[in-house]
Amino acid sequence: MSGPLPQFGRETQQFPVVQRASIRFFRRVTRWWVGLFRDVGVRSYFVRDIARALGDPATYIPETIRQMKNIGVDSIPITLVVAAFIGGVIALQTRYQLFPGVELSIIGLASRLMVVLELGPLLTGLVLTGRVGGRMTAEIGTMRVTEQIDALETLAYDPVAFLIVPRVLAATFMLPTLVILADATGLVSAYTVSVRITDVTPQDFITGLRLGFGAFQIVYSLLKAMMFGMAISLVCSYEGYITEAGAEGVGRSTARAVVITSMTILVLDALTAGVLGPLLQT
Amino acid sequence: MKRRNEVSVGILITVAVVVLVLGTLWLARGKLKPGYPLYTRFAWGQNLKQGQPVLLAGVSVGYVGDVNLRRNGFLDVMLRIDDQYTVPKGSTATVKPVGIFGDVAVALTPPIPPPAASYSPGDTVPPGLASADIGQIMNRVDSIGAGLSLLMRSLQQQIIEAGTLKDINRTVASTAALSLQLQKVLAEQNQNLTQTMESFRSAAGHLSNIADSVQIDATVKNLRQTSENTSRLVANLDSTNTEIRKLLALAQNGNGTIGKMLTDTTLYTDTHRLLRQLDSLVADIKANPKKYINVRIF
Repeated sequence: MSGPLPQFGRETQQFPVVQRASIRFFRRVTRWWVGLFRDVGVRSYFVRDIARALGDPATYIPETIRQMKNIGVDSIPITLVVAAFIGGVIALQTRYQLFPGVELSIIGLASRLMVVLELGPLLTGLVLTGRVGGRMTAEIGTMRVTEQIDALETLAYDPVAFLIVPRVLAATFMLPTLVILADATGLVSAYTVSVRITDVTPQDFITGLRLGFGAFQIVYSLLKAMMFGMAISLVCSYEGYITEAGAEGVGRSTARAVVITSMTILVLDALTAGVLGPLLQT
Repeated sequence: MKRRNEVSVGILITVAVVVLVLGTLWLARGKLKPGYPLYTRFAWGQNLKQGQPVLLAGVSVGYVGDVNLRRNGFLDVMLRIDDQYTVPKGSTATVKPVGIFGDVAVALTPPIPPPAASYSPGDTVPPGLASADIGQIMNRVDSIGAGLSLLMRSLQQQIIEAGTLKDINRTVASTAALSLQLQKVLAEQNQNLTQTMESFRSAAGHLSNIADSVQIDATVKNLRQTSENTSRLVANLDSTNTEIRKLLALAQNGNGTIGKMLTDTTLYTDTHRLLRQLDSLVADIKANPKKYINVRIF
């Protein structure tokens, strides 16, 4: 973009003020759109590189196991704690907001629907965005600014296959795994809180828990988790991969990755509810 | 380190898969064993789906295993019954709503008394008479609602638009005012009654005081004396009356002076003639005073 512009006639400065302002405005809008398309294109190239790197399993499979441990096993405690609190709070709030005359089994139903369909995957995704996504961006970004990635390329290693693909695969498969445990923990917590703290009987809760259950609800939950895992790994890996300007750049990339990933997860959640929600109708 | 990672990841995935499978089965069936199959058939539109509970006399004994849509207007339904339960022969299957969320269950109703024989696995349970579903109930509610709407419109026309409500309000207001007045009257009457009762009580108290005193004796004596005097007076009056009657009888018979005065007209005639002569004399005196009055001083 730098360098002398071709002369097509008068220079911009020679136009009247109104025309000059209009030219600047349209130029800014055009640059914004060009930048947007450029971002989409660069990310598409990044995804293409990932897809191409999938053909080199010898490079990414060993690292994938390590990333699965980092993303999955190490995230179990925080995931279960969050799920347990969420399940308990849902049960308590539902019970206390019920007006007299409503069957208490609705607490089991509400707990299942909220935990399995919405809060289990969503909160697990958001929690892992901070814990796993931030770490991912920081790791890859540091490798970028310390030129370790350049060194890998020098050694004929595909950095995408070695650094990005294992994280994408691990997050994509570990998020559903964690969501299964989070859903189960949330429901057990909701049951325990309902039966121990409120006047809900075990039979009431279980009746509601099983009311109108369909296996697609589980599929829906896992599908969302898979999408969230993919979003976390893709966004955070990319932001780390393009990090510039030293330690400050790493920090900036990490913060931006967490924000973009959180927004992406919320948008995906809304899209999923809009597209797949009708299939959940009983 | 690498081996340890693989083991931990493997454990996590295994646990997650086990939780997923068992949890889904438990939520769908209520238990993990499949149970034995029974079959039944319902008409279309029963809102049936896999996993809904099967109730035998109100007790959950299994779940709906499969629902197949047939083109002849029926649903072929497979029921999975727990191995510990048997369904008595002659039982019928109906679809009934459960709770307020539109969910349904298959209800198996055994005959009374239940026979000793039971359905074998794979038998077909005949459908019973279906209870009214939510659609029928809603239709009924709609028709009732339409009737109510008509009734309300009539009431609107008759009571509000025709002014009946105003009349009722006026009547109620008048009744209230009348009631208020009656209450006032009643209060006044009550007060008067109370005062009367108090006066009566005080009079009775006085009477009792008087009866207890010596004055009653004097009063009684006076009364007795008065009575005796009255008796004498009445006797005297009787005798006087008798005498007067005798006197009147004599007068009527023309005896004595009074009798003659009453019965003889001569006295009247003479008196009348005397009065006329007096009148003529007075007139003559007025006309000729010197004839009768002659005054000489010297």
